[in-house]
Amino acid sequence: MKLVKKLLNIISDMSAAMSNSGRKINYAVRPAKNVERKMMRDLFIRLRSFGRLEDYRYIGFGSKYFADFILFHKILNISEMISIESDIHNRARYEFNKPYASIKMEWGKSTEVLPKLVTKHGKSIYWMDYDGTFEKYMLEDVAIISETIESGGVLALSFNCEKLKIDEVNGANNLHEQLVKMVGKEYVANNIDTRGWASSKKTAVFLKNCVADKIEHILKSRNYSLLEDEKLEATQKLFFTYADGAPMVTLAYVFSAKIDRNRVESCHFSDLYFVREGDEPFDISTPNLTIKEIRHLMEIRPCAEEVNTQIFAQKDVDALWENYRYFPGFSEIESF
Amino acid sequence: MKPQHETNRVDARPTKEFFISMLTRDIATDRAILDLIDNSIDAYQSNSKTDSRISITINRNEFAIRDNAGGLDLETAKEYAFRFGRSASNPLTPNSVGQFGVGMKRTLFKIAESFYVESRKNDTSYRIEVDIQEWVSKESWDFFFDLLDKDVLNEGETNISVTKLRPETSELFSEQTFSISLGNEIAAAYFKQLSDGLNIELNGKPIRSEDVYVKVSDELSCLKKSIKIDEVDISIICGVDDRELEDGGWYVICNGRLVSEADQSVATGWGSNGIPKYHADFAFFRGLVEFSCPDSSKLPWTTTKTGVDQDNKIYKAALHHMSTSMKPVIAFLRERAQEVTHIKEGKISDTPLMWAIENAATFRIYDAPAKNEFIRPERILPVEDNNKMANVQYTIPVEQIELAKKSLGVTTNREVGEKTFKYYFGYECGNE
Repeated sequence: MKLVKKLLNIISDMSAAMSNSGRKINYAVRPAKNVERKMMRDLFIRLRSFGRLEDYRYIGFGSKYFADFILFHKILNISEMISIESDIHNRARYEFNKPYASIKMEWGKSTEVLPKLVTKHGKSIYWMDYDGTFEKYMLEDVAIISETIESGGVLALSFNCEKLKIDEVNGANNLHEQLVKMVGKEYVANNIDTRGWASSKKTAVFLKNCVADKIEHILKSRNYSLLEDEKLEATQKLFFTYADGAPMVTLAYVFSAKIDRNRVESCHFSDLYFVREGDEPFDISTPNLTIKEIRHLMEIRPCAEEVNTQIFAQKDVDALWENYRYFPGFSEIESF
Repeated sequence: MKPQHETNRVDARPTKEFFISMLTRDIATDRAILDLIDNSIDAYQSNSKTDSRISITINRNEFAIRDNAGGLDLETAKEYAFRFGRSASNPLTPNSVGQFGVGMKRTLFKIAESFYVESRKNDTSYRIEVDIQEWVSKESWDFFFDLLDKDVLNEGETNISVTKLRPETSELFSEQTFSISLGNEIAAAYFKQLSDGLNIELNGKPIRSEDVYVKVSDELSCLKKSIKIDEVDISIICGVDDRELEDGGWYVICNGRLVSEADQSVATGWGSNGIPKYHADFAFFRGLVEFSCPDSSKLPWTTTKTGVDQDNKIYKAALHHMSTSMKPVIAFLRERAQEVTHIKEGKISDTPLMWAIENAATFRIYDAPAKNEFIRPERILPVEDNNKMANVQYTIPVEQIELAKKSLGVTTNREVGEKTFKYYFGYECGNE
């Protein structure tokens, strides 16, 4: 029996049934999401070269579970945390679920709330963990954040990235229309190449480039009035793809001023094997293995020749050995 | 470079007709007249004159503008003032409004068939008289002056007078709406100088400043930011005033001169980078961005001074700060609009945002006490509503609804609606 997957599915189903609004499942039990969150934590830890992590501010979408807030508070010791929530009709329930009193809820849609938050000085980590497919307002959010984020700040975004469904009869128009709807006219060439969109990676790279363009555009205007040393740039550090259900993409950009070039270098981001600075995503794959299988594979790691190929699929072995440090170790608890 | 032989010469000189038509094409007559006022204002500034008075006469038969700004000395007139385009050797007027060296000529060529310019400075009075048709027919580009008896003019006076208007201009000037709208344009374009004591008369009547206002109190502030880029001082002020659809937006000023009034377009950031398109909810917004520089060629205005050059780097830099400055004000106005909806729906019992605007005092935007952040009261969130309800409304022929009532055993339309919905829901969306 594929115990890990099954157990996870059961827990997911339970939490889906328990929630009645907002996001449907508890992110803590989605395996790839869980892995991703810890990888992000390891990226953020390296920001120490820029300043004390406890002085950072974290802004995210905590939902009712606040899984990211708990992790980043415990490990990074960030205490100034803001959760943006648009479900203003259930405020009491979100307030009740806050794991720490220091988390401040900001009520409203991100595009409406962010302008009020970004004016505050200080280093910030933003994780806009959207639960839907890419929409234009996400680029607006990217713009709002990029206008004020300081050197040493991080902007991460996650969004759903289904492959596009292209009508075969009128492919070009159909594709153009869908893309314009997602990102706006200025990002879609009139003669866009219609090949390759059946893979969700194509869409992922396209959307990533739109986000990068937006950031670059904002920084260009911003840099005009900055001194040479203060001029900012943003570098992509994460490009994750994963699927706990729907295919998802996560991007993360580190912002730094020229004067902080040495600090960026001393972060040694590229030591992290999952860091991706280009168009090739790091896919967070989760193996389909039982607990017994996992134990066995960990005992023989890294001797590939000892793997019994009659029992194990190579991709499961690879997935486990690549990311095992980040896998969730779930066990049943008595919750009531 | 290859040796240049006279026999290989190709004539590339501009014709005067082409020159005039290009020069006058892209400017509206009313804006062209403002160019002449700009010249007077520059003259006041360079001659450090106070008690300034500009008087404009405009009607079907004549156009004249007279000022006491100190006069244009004959040497300057001979060397620079009538050249087409500013020559590199021409000394700069610091913080000037006229800068392209085309203003006066463009205006006169646009409206006149013949005109004269006369001035007295340092007790020398002279007049330059031009018949444009005659000038065009000649090879030479020069104008000629006559010395006048010095007492024809007061010391420091300049007078520009069109002796014959072009027929289409005469027609335009005969329309009453033209002089009214010209008056409004002047009131807006020079609102800063008019408030500071400049006198401009149009057909004998003084023009009142069309000022920009903001409302400020202890709980509602107006935000001010100053930056300097490449010798250009940029100051940005943002706040709120009463709701006025036409007055909301950005006012762009270059060296004291308004070049864009209540701009509500993408040129000033509306509808881009997280700022919504201009909308009635934002008609409370007032923003002012002022560019000042001794070297006026660095300012981001267009040659017609009717807008900004959006590709100018200094403007792009300013636009970034305009965008970040207006965001908190827009967020406040958005919440104010939501507040109105919530109070109408009975979900809140007070409207602190509306009251903050209502109770604040009105200031001229230049005189308003400004802060480096936007201060505003907190909104009241609507009561939580877990049990959201919605209405369904549709129209059905009476005959059918009566049949349905009979079939359902009910007497009101409302009951028909509720029962039929329940019926459908029970079969098709059951177990929810």
